[in-house]
Amino acid sequence: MTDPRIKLARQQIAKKGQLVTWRQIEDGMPLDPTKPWIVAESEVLEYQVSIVFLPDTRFNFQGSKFHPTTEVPTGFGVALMGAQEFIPKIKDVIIRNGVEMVVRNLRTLSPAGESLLYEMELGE
Amino acid sequence: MSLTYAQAIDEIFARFNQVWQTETLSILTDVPEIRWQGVEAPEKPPNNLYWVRVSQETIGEQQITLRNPSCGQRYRTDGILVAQLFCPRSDSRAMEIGRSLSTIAKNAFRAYKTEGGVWFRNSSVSELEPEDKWIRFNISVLYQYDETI
Repeated sequence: MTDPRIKLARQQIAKKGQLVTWRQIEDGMPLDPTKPWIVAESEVLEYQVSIVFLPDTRFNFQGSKFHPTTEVPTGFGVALMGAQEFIPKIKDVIIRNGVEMVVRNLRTLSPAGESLLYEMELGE
Repeated sequence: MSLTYAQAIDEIFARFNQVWQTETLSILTDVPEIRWQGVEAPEKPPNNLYWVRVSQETIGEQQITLRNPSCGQRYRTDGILVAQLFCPRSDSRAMEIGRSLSTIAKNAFRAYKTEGGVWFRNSSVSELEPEDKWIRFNISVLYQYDETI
């Protein structure tokens, strides 16, 4: 039975989250069995998902900063996503307002083995 | 002999792959999985299996001849190949088997030159700090090849 708090979180994500594109990238298989280090072009699948975006901390100091040792602005935040028809992976990316974001960390909440909630740290 | 960057990597990786696939069967019943640099795998290998991750890195490239109108100029590339070997701590023979597997990887590049002209030196094994799940070895070898453009 689903924990009512998890159920509530999933409902809240669906209601208050932003609809974004989740782009799942599957590496291709090796083209030549004698060269397993060279793989075919990736297969890309796209899903429309609802995600709640949150600052990393109350003060959100990390929301905008310079990429280390450069003058390129970057940033990251935290995001929550309910269970989906696909299994999210670290290599996947999220397209939010036309900007591609990478998944830096991914934590799966699955108290009874079934994935209920994904908590992610995102990077721009 | 002249090799491009991609051709050289192909020859180096092919040598490791060929030796690993044939010689490790004398130690284990299954060939330990090879994880290749840049190729993503969906899952981490199981904690009870031996596996190796192979990667290379270019150290430097320099021009070594003046330009010759008939055959261009030659550049020499130095690099390092690293094979990170992971041996499960749950196997009481992990250290012994790890040493044997490391020796196979190390010897693959001793007294050997690829068809395209990659040659190797300083092939060595180093023991790393054990991790929670694995006893670790790093096998490293310096390689060198020339490219004419």
